[in-house]
Amino acid sequence: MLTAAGSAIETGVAQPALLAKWRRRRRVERTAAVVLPLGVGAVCALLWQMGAAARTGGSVLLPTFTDFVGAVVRVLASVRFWHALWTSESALLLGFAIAVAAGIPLGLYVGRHRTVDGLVSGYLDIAVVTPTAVFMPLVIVVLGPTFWARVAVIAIFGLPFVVVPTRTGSATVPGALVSMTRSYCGSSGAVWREVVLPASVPAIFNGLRQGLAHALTGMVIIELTFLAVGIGRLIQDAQAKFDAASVFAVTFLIVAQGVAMMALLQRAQDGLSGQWRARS
Amino acid sequence: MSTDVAVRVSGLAKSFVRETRGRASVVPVLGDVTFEIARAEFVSIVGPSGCGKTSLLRSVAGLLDVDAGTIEVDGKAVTGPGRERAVVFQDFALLPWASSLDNVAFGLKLQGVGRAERRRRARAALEMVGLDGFADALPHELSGGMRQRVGIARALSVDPDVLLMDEPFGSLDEITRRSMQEELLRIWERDKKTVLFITHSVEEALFLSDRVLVMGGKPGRVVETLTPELPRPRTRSQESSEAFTSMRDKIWETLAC
Ligand SMILES: Nc1ncnc2c1ncn2[C@@H]1O[C@H](COP(=O)(O)OP(=O)(O)O)[C@@H](O)[C@H]1O
Ligand SMILES: [Mg+2]
Repeated sequence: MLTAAGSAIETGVAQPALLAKWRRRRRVERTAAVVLPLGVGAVCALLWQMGAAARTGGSVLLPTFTDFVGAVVRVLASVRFWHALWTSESALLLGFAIAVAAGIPLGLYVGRHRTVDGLVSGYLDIAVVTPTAVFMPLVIVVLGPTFWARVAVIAIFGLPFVVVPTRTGSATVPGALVSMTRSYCGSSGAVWREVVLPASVPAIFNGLRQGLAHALTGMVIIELTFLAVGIGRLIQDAQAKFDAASVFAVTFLIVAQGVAMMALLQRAQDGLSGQWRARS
Repeated sequence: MSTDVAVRVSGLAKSFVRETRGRASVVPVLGDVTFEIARAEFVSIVGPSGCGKTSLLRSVAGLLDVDAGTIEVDGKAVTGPGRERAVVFQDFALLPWASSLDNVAFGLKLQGVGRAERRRRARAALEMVGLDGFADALPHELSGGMRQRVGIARALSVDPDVLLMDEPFGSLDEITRRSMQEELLRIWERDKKTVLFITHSVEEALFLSDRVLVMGGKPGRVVETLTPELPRPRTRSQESSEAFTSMRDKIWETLAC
């Protein structure tokens, strides 16, 4: 009988040295991953500070970096910011949840059924290439200047970008895996549960990321244009008062929040993949 | 007599509709395929690619509806996949996110075997194919040969009466392929499953089988049946024997016309 080849780690003569070298490389990579962005950020902050200060000791339009940091702290400490954040965020969460709840099943289903795909994909293509913002007046006309109008706009922004990657994911599940599942008497439910769904997980998360990015865009755009509430209102008020530092601070906080949400999605995906590995 | 027959295929015909540049045409793939496989017999089907070998195997597996003819396994008409049959696929068909153990246990899971029982049986099957040390490895961490061992272990773990193998070693290199052939025979000698083995390699078919069916023609059918009466257990030295080489030449002649 052919033995199943012993692994290199068991047989290597110079293995401690090899391992040490590998660990050193990993350590350098990890450190660089933290130090490099921080360094770049510090350089930018320094240039910013010097540039703004050089302009007649702190121009009205361009706050210095220290002004900006001060504004971030001030904004974070204000009740108004948290209130505005809740106003914006509640619409975002609901709108994105609707986009996800509709988009994932739709994408999965469309990807597996050619006739439905033919029906839906035309609309999807239109939705993806159309600047979604043109629908905002329509939504406001129909729903009025309400919370639900914002929810609808956010959902409309996010939905196509959840559906399209998800549909690609379920459409490209290898046919051999489906055949294999059926050959062991797996039902069509089992094919969905055991093959189509897990195989589509990376595509689904791709859709969640893209959908969230567009939902966030929708949230900001409608608050800056048709419905001045929440974070958008905060920015507009600061802008009206020529409080540039606050405008910068709130913008920064929105970006930071977007990045944090993406990181959370990544964590969720990693956790899910880990779970899938562990089951049997 | 009929109790000794594990697989009976008679008058099998299958056509596909193919669309080229908007025009649909019917392509007959199998025309009147008839053969029997006795219980515990190892039968290979050789033929050029495109002659309908995979279509035939998928029909016997119950994965493909046929246009005409009947298929019986253990005396029962095949209408879909069944527990008495297990398929080994050419490209392994392993779940890329699942460990070797989970992949082997997958067939048992689909058949409703409880978790503890299926893990125990999956471990036993992994051991049988020499992969006991790789239960936790993911498919991408395994070589091609090891992946197909997982595929074979999955098929064996459900303890089928009939093993259906579609060019299982077709994508392996020559060295791995030969050792896998020997290993398959070793496993087969142990529990004597009925095997339907598809290959495009004449030597592989002769080395492994009790009987070799040669497929050819359009639409495909069985054009020749040969019985390599080589003593078992088979050895590599038999490959240079007179019986082996003359049969090989005969198959090549059949395939040439
Ligand atoms: N699902 C299908 N639809 C249309 N044509 C098919 C399909 N499956 C197989 N064929 C055609 O049938 C012929 C035989 O295929 P196959 O059974 O895979 O042969 P082999 O396994 O001997 O190479 C090929 O010409 C192939 O293109
Ligand atoms: Mg084939």
